[in-house]
Amino acid sequence: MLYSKHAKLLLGFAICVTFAASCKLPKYKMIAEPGSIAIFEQQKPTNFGTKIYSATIDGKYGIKKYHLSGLLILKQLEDSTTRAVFQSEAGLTLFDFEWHKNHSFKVVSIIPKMDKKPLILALKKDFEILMKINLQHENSFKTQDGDYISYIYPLERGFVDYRLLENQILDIKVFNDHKTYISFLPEAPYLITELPNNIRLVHHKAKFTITLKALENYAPTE
Amino acid sequence: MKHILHIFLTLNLCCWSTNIFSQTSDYKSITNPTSLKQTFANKVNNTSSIESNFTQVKQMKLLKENLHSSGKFYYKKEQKVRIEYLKPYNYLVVLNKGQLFVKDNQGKGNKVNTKNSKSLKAINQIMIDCMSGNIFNNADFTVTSFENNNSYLLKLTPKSTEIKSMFKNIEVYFDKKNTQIERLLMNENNGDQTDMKFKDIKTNINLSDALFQTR
Repeated sequence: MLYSKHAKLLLGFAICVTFAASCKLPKYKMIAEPGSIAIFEQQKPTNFGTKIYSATIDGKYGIKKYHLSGLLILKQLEDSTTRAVFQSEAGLTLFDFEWHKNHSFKVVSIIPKMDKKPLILALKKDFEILMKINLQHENSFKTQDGDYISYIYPLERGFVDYRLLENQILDIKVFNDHKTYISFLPEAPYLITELPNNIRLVHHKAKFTITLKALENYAPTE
Repeated sequence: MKHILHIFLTLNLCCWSTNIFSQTSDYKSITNPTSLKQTFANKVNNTSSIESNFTQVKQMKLLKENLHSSGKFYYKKEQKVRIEYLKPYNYLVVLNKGQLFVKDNQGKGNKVNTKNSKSLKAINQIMIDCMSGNIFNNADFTVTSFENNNSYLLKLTPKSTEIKSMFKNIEVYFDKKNTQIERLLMNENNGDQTDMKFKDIKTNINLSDALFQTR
């Protein structure tokens, strides 16, 4: 029993060291409890139904500023498919993304001006992190810093860190090489099982911010 | 990453989805629209301003429920339009001589020169032409006309590939008695529809230029 427990600790430590060496993680106080992350994953927002946000995208390219606004509709269908639709306030659909229950991703529709791979991949990643879709369970782990707990998942490049306090998400960071390049900053902590009401997705390197504000009183009717 | 920034920078879209309501079964095609064109030409000459309330319903295949919004619409000769969404979100669009000003639900304003965007310019022009009656002269759409006892129906089919990629067509309904616009319907390529209905329409009233300031 004792040997088994030490073996698990060594395995967990080996995983952490490997990542620390090859992927340049920040200095976390690591807890070798890879199994505990399953609890976090089980509590993802799976039944949020329909969430409608007033959405804006602000950025700066050189000396030029740009601004785009619309409505972002996040919808979970009965067959466990998830959709993210962005449309102008006047109703025109700008893009429509779909995640099948088997986690495959599909662009249902997108206007030509937005049909660019880097943009699609950036938005895809943002939504997946927000809705906790397609997180790589393998090589994920949990860390703790005082009362704050982090669940860290590897990405294709870098990591995503969900930071929690008392089962509520305080913020989410995407980082690599000790630098945070995307911050998800909710206006207030929110439960793991829900989506935030108001949140900013700050892309530090790309210098643009997506701001989402839930339309609380917007109750669609038949 | 520069690609993403460039995309956002050039993406200036303000699309008025006009719902295209496909109940055209009782409409008959107007094979010779000469008389109708003259009627609309007279409307252009005789209409200096319009103020109305509007409701908008977005029907999406994705959602069982429809999305409802409402607001106020203003038009003033020449080329001035103000569309103000009031519920359930605030969204303001002002067009004035090729300049577009947008103010979103979070209170941020953005000024755009539509001359740099063909698609944006085309969409802006459609709105102005629909309200003023100048629709038959619009160069970006093919117009086919229909009528029943109460209404004229103009079907606008986009000519350019760029606008075709945004939506399938627009149907515009006019009251036969006074050629006032009643309804705008836009059919998107994915089957979704946006339905904009106008009511409490007032014409030729005094509208302040301040309503159409692009700042």
